[in-house]
Amino acid sequence: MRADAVGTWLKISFSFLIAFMLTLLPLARPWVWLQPAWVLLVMMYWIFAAPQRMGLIWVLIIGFYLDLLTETPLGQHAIPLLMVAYLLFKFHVRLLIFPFMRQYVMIIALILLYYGIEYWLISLNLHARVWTLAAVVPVITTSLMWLLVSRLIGNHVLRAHTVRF
Amino acid sequence: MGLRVSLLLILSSALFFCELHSDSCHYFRAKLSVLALPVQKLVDAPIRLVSWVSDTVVTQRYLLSENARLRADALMAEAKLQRLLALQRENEQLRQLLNSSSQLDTKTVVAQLLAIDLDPSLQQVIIDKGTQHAIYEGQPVLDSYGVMGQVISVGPYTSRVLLISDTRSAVPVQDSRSGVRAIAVGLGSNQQLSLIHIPDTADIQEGDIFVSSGLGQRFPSGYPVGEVTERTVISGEQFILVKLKPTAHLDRTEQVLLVWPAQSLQDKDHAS
Repeated sequence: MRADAVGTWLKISFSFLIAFMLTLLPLARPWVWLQPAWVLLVMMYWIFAAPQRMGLIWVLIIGFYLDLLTETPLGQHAIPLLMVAYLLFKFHVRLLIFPFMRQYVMIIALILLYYGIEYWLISLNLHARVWTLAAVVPVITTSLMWLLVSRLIGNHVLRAHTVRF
Repeated sequence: MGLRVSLLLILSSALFFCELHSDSCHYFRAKLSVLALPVQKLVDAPIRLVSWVSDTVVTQRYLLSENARLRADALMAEAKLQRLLALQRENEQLRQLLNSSSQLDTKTVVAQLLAIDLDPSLQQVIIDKGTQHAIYEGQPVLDSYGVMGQVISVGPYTSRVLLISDTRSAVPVQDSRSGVRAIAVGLGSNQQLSLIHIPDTADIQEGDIFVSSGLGQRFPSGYPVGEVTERTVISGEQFILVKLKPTAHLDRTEQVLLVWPAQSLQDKDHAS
């Protein structure tokens, strides 16, 4: 049991490290907007896959670290991550038993919430509007990436939950 | 859970607004940036390795041709430099005649950009020099084509540069042809700057080069900032719209030049 817990910890840390690195990956200017919110995706995955290992405090620490990495004011990523994590913690069991399309619509709503809060915080910081059309692109790429990530969650989580019910 | 999330939200919002509005929080955060360095280096190192390998594995023929080209460039530059030295001497003599202080040579240091992308909403880059190399906040940053920006936060080993294309950046500039003075502000894209508060009588034409005027005492004077690409009179508006294309290669540069303008060098001497 303990070895199992350590293994999960390692997996969680490693996946977040990869997400951090992907976020920093340098791309030519127009392609930057294609970058999905990797850390958000990984966080949502672990809340589904191992909710007992993820806590709100960890989410906050991860968010602050992401802010340090991308040199944004502390909180610009942490606050939206925290909001999404809270809602997911509250509703992830219910989401798991939803039919796929309904589940996906809810996830897209969460991604929209994430970017909505983030853009609002950016506009507070820059005193300028960031609502260009390009700002919609990461919402779309993140939603598409979720299709892959939700495949990874796969059957073992669903099975674990059906056992519990 | 509801109580915990509210507490954490209050905490993070407090930090967010503290950093936006207070200098001491900003200072504290600059110190924290050292925590981000390992992961930033982890992304930067492989990319640097790839460019190092592609530099190392080149044919001799390519090296020879490049060497010949660089020699020719150096010869041209030296020829220009000789004329420049004569002009500089003449300039100093004229300044002495006018009883004005002569300009000192400025100290410079070359820094590397880290090959990482920050948030797409920011027009900022990270350089690999920090307080260890006596970098200070507000220091001007140039590349070989013109003004790039200024240092806005200094960590121990890295510092953050606000590019002139950021919406929060403003550079005092002067038309090198007509001498019209203006302020160039960033528009959030690395291809465009815009001049603010220009009356439609101002002598500005497309193709004019704007150089830094040195009026804010932050950027050294005389370095190119941008070339006028668009000059539009909007009927009914008090000011005209002037767009500049930055002369510095904001998106392609790997090495930048950090300058210590003479003014701040003297300040530092007084301080120490």
